[in-house]
Amino acid sequence: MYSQIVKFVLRCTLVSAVICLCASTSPFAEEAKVEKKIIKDLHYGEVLFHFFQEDYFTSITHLLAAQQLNRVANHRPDDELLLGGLNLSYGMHKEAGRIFARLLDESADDAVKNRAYYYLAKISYQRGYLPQAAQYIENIKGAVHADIFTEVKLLKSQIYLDTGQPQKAVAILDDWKAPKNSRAYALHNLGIAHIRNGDVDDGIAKLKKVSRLKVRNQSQLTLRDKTNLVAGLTMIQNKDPEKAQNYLENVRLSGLYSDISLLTMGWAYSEQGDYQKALTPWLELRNRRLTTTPVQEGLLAIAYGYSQLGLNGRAVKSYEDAVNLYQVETTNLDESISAIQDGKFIAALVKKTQDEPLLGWFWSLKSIPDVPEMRYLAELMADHQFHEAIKNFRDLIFLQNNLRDWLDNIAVYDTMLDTRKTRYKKNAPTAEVAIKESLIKRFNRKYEELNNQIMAAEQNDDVLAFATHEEKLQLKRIERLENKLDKLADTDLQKDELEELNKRLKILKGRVYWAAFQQYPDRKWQARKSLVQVETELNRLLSVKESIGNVKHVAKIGFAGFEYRIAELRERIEKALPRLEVAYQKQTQLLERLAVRELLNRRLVMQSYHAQARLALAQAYDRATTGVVTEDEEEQE
Amino acid sequence: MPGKIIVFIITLLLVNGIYAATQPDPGLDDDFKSLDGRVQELKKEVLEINRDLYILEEELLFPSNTQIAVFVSVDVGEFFDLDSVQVKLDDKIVANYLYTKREVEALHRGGVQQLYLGNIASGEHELVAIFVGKGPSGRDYRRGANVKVEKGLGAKYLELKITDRTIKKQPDFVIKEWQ
Repeated sequence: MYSQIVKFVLRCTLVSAVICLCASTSPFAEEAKVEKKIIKDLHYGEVLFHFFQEDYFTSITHLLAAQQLNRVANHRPDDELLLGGLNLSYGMHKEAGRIFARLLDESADDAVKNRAYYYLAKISYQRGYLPQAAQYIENIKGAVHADIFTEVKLLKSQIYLDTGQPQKAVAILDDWKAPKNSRAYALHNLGIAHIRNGDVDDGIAKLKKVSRLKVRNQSQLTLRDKTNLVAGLTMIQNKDPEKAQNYLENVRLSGLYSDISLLTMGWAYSEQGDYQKALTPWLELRNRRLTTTPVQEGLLAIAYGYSQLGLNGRAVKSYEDAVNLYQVETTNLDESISAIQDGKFIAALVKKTQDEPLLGWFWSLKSIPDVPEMRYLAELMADHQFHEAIKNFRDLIFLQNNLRDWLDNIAVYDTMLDTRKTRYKKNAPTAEVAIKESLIKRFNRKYEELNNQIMAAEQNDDVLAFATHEEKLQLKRIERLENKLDKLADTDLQKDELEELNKRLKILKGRVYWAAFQQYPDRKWQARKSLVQVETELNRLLSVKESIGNVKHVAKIGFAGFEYRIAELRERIEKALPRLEVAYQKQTQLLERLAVRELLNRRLVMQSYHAQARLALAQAYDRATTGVVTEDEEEQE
Repeated sequence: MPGKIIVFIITLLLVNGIYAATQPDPGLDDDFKSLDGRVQELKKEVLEINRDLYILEEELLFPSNTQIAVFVSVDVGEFFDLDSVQVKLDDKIVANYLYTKREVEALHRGGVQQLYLGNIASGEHELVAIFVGKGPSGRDYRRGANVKVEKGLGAKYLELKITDRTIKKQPDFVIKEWQ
């Protein structure tokens, strides 16, 4: 009979160990850690920045926007694979499934298809659709990309184990040297596969290897505990309780598996007939929280141990303690069920979501207050359905707050848009006046005149056309003096003096011409350069005029476009909020129902324990009254 | 004999205690699935609203003809442990950011942070970035980098890159202009 219990526990533990293993790693998160992406679009990197911080909501929002604005074109089809993965991480299996199925339809690339099949297998596996998961994983063909190679191997082995094909799991994992961060998981699965396949020695050998691996983090410590527990249970099943002890002793006293390990340790000693030693771990269990099954069962085990030692008095006392404690626990459960049904549980959860950050699934269970409505939260969180329901509950609160915040912002956008419209109405006429058509025409005419003048001067080699103002003045003065000298030709002045004056004027005139001639090429080039500048400025003026015209046109459309979009989004938000509220109310009711169902189940078990303890107590009283072992004899021992 | 009884009891209790769950609320599992599907659809709807609002906000507040965005990335980053970044645009401080451990890890894994999103007029501008953190051997480290940018019609994207100069075993700070 006893071996059947152990066998049963072993089978269930093996199953749950694999299930827990799947839940303990996130292959998608690991994938991103393995390979650092080469960023070809900044906005793709920006999405990864939020994703690496597990802010899935922001990551998805930004990726959807980047796709719509064509900002991640250089990352096709990785952007779609990332989007699918993000949806999966955010609990949106349906949408993730749609994205991966679409990728399968659209892509001809084996690498992309393999990734899509992997994620589809993962989704199906997580949702418990094992045949579908097996089908998807079998579709992965050819060389699997290094990014997902490890995850595919692990998932494949898990699916084979869960579909009762341990020999295939062995074939997948045997001789595979998994990367460091996955080696413990791979060896653990391989050990279980061997044991399920009937190769206990090989299985234990693999599990032993897990214990020898260097532990890097808390989850690996927990896995090592689990491995030792599985090895211990396997040894008990194989009627080698002495060896079982060695494995069970390696399980930490404060870990997730410490309670079940202490209970099993007691059974390992008791299997060897050493009830005295068996009592040590069982008595340790008595000091722990009575909410876990091993602690509850430990109470009966203690009484059983004493009775096996023939210490009937202590056995009776232990049964009496068990009856009392089961009664207290039943009362606690009743209080909790009543508090949950009164709505106190949801109120406490809402307070917790306000006190602690919204995104991220896990609260610190250490900070749970010891009030009836929250007493069993840690135990409830261990239930998959309840856990998923809590996530949805928190998401719904977040989504409602998010939309309410946007509703406030949208009012600000409306005001902003009104301000812009007012400013536009005020400034647009001024801008139009500043660049009138007549002004541009006048500038154009002036430019043409100058251009013609320069061209004429160039054709005639007219050096004086580019003379300076001073040079022109000097030439005029020389001309005036020449005229005066001409008039003096008929006077009494001596011819020699006049000739001398004419000669000097000619020299002066020649100097001015010479200077203008010397400067002619430079001055011509400067004139051309200035003309080009004038042309550039004129073109700029034309472009500004055109731009103002465009702005005027676009502004009219833009204002109307923004107005329409703001109104449409406000309507969408206002329609979504009541539906979110309805879903939230239903979710709170569902959470209460899940909690009550779990606690009612626990209550039934507790009642069963209570009844069995009372029956055993009655039998122990019978033995005591028939005097099988007296109290005096017990004292002597 | 009593031992056997106890073992039998414990068998029952183990079975009851761990695995035999009665169903006090038989429709609960179906309700769970149905509501989970509904919540998924609502999440999708809210995400799409957020996408459209995000785009609207950007187009309204930071139109592409005046938009400038500054991003931060880390390539390897073995010789520099980032604490903060300050960004000055035309000698005016526009961003001052202090990093959390989680953000630094995200940068090291290949994430790119959008540090600043703003508006500037077309023409030439100067951007100065000052990086503060721990350099080689854990010493305090403060370095600047600057770039002159010409703002045209389209949005201007600048990436502040923290890289390693392996030979000199020193960090390097580069500003890359994206087209």
